[in-house]
Amino acid sequence: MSKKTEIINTDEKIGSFSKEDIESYAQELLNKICGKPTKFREGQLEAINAILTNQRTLVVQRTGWGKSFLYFVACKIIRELNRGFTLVMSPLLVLMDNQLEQAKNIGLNAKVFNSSVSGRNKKRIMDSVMRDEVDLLFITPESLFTEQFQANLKDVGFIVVDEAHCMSDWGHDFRLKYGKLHKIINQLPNNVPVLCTTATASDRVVKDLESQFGNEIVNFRGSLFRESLAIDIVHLNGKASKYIWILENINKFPGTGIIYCLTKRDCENLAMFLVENGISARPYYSGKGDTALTEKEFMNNEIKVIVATIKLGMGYDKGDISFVIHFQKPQNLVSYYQQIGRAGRNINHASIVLLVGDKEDDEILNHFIDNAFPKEEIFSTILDSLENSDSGLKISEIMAKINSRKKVVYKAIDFLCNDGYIIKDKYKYHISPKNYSYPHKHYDEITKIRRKENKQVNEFISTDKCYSKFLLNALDDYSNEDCGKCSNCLGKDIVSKDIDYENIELAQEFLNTLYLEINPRKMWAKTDSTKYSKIRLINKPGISLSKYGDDGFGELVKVGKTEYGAFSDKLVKKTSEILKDIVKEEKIQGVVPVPSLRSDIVKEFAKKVADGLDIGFYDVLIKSDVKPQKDMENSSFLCKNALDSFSHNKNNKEKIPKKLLLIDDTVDSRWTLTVCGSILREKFGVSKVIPYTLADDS
Amino acid sequence: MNINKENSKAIIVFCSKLEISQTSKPLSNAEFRDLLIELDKKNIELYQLFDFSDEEFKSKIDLPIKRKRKSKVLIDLKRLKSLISRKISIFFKVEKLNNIGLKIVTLSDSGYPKKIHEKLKENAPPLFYYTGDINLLNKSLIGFLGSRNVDDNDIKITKDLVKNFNKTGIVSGGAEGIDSICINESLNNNSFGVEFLAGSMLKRIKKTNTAKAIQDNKLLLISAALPSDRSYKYTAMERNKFIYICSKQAIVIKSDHEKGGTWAGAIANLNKKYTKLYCVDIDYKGNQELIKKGAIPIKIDSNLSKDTINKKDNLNNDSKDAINEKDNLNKTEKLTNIEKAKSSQTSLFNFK
Repeated sequence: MSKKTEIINTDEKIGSFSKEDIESYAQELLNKICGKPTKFREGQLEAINAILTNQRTLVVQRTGWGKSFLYFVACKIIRELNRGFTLVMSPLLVLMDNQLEQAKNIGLNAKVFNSSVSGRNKKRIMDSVMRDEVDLLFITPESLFTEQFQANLKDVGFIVVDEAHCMSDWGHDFRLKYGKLHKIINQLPNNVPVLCTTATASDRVVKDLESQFGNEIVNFRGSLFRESLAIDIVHLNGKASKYIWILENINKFPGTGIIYCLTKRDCENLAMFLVENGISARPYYSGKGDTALTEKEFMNNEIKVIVATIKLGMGYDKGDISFVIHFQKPQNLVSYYQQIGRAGRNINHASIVLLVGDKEDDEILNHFIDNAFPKEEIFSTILDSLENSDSGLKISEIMAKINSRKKVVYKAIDFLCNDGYIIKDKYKYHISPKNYSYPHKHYDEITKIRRKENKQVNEFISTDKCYSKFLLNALDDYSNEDCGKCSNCLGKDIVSKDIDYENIELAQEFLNTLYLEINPRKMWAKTDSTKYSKIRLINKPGISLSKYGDDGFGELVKVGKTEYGAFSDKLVKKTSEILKDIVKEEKIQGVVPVPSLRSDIVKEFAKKVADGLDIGFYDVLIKSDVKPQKDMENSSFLCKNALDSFSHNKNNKEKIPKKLLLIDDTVDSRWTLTVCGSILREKFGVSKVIPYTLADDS
Repeated sequence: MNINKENSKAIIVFCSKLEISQTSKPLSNAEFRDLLIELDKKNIELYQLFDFSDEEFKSKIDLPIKRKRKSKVLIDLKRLKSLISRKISIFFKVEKLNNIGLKIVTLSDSGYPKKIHEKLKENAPPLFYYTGDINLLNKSLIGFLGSRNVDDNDIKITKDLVKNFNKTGIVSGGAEGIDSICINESLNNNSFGVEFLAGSMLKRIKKTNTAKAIQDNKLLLISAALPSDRSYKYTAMERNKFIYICSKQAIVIKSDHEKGGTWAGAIANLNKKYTKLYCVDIDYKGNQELIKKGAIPIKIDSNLSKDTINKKDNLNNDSKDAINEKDNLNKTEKLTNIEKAKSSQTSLFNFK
């Protein structure tokens, strides 16, 4: 079924191996891996031959087709020909364990080298690579480009790029470091074998990969159809109803499954909600510390469901996942195909449900698209600042010159370093001799494609044709008939499309108690008037009622601020409720509002709260007319601006209590609260300041 | 060697010091030459060795290859195979350099410095590391040589001389002192320059001015030494040779007598006649001795008229380009007086 297969003439011997030798050798290994006599899949032998005749080979086949088998066999034979070990690049850590096991079964000594391996073990691994004991080395691109790895690298005989679609920034899952691989591969002598594999590559990505390799790549492409997946789509408005749908339906699915969310916060909250309601769920996203434990618990069926971002995607190999639910619309159909492909690998039936919501989904998706690439301005300001230095700048020196968010600057620096326009040398960054120009056209084209993909998702949602077929067509696989399993094929619902609205209160209540903590700042930023140094008198940890704009209170705060010019009584009531206990426990005696020149909305709100709590109201801080804090982007600028903004009236002899609440509408950088708190403590002799805001807008 | 991309990659695998593992020592220039001679005899391309089995090595080429002089290091099967085992890993490091704008040019690339290949023939280094526009080497360049230790007068002389060459580039050794003064002056005059480094290329590009000049195609840094390696005496000596070879004329600003790289390089040039050698006629032992040995003296005198120079230039008919250079010559009048050695019929400004 390979769509485009150019079989190479392999009559000649490969070292001491004839074509027949290879076939029987491969057959033996296949039987060993499967534990019983097994037939080759179409294309497997041809691909192995292509590799062994030193071709650049691209294999696009569905998950479970046996892509890793190809390089196991090739690795073995290349090893026997004494042509070095096999280096497998993979963007993920999760898939490695499983493959290590398989490799071991056929007598390959395989090792994993990635950021989760300790320094000492890394050294041990590299030592055994040097001693030529390792047959197969799995590595993430991030580790590949480290000095420690490259310094000791030798005797590689065969390169495998797993999840090769990550090399193309046309693809849905481009990885910065992966994008550099083709440059290396293209420099290699023509007669070293390279295998690229992926389960998700559209024509455009395949074409891009082909051109990355100078169009000299043998291409094996098969049907991507997964017959075990039964797709259905449920329309629900608002987070609360989605929460309830999941709660009501999750136990109807046998076995274990995955819920995909677009944001980390959604993963955390939904998992918490499910746990509170008796479902064993775990959040999973990049940056979360205990992902390895979660994977293990999931693998052992100790938990029902993982609530994950796309971090849990490619390569995750658990054969009996019986359901995948998407909490929001996916970014595009290719990644959707890949995510639902986690399910039903070794079982006959898996339920795939897409929960489609209202405009919120689109807002998040558009945000992703708009922020995919750093803006030109940030690149040029960074480069300008470096060009105006003699021999580079430290990161803190760059930050003090650029009014942009730390995250934005770091991301831009990462891009520039990765592309070699700036060089990091110990603590300093300096420009490289390479000429820089912003890739406008390229970024624009990609953005255009992303929007098109977005549209395609909407078409998928509204189609009345076979969902599976629609998906495969989106991946340029036209080889299949209707699946006969999805709700459109069956002409009836696979899952319930309704929820019990009586239950919705439960979810709403949960969403309304997702307070956020305000961690007090402990250090001043570097500005004209402050050094990077400890803040002497700091605030206590505070509370934010909601996430700005979120369902429930977050939405109320947004509407109050932008439309009504006043915060509703509901917010006053809820605030008093939350603060009542704190006032009692912390012996709070008064409320101080953060002053504003633009409106009295905060002052009025704080006054009402003070009245509700029956404590004093002290409007003692003064705001000067400087730029709004929201125009400031990074710590240096925010801190300086806040310091310039707030003061107190020196003639004010009013006595104020020692323990206070400091109230503002929203919190972002925390510099306003930090500076106001510091004034209260230093100038008024206040001993305790607890900040409270209606929403977190960071 | 013929231009061939695969051979070029093979040269990197066999000769680059980019990755030195314990078992394999990259081939030296001379060893590489010996290997090529052997392969030529057998009609084998360098890159074909990558696919050779042990049997093929044994049956197709005569190993080990011994250096003519008694050398302990041999090119044997073990060493070749050990070097071939770098055929993938070394390109990770090549790409690391490429990514920040540092490239490699080999004897098998069309961009390899032609003059060096022509003059040194089989002794030409198999590869150079460089950053910047390598075509600057094909333009007319004046070599500047001199010590690291300079006084105000040396600086003035250097700067004044450089001002004459604002349509010609400067080539120097990229060290402190005369080297950096002449290049900086050339760049300040919006002209261009080439620096043959004895080492430390990575360190050089940290300077913002250097990186910017390279970006603007005004400066080429090139070196046979690994960019991360510091310079050594022998790399410094070797690169002096490249400066002379790539210069239309070379000027020694100041040289010690019978010691130091400037002296040795100038003497070597007089022997090998890579290029015409000029020496500033100052009261300094090294300079005076070089002039005695045949360097053409440059007298520093600001009172020379335009006519004199043009007349002198007209004496020089062996260069087709002389007429084109009048423009440059006219600008020299206020600054420099060239007093030709009595025996010499050549002019300093016989450049393109």
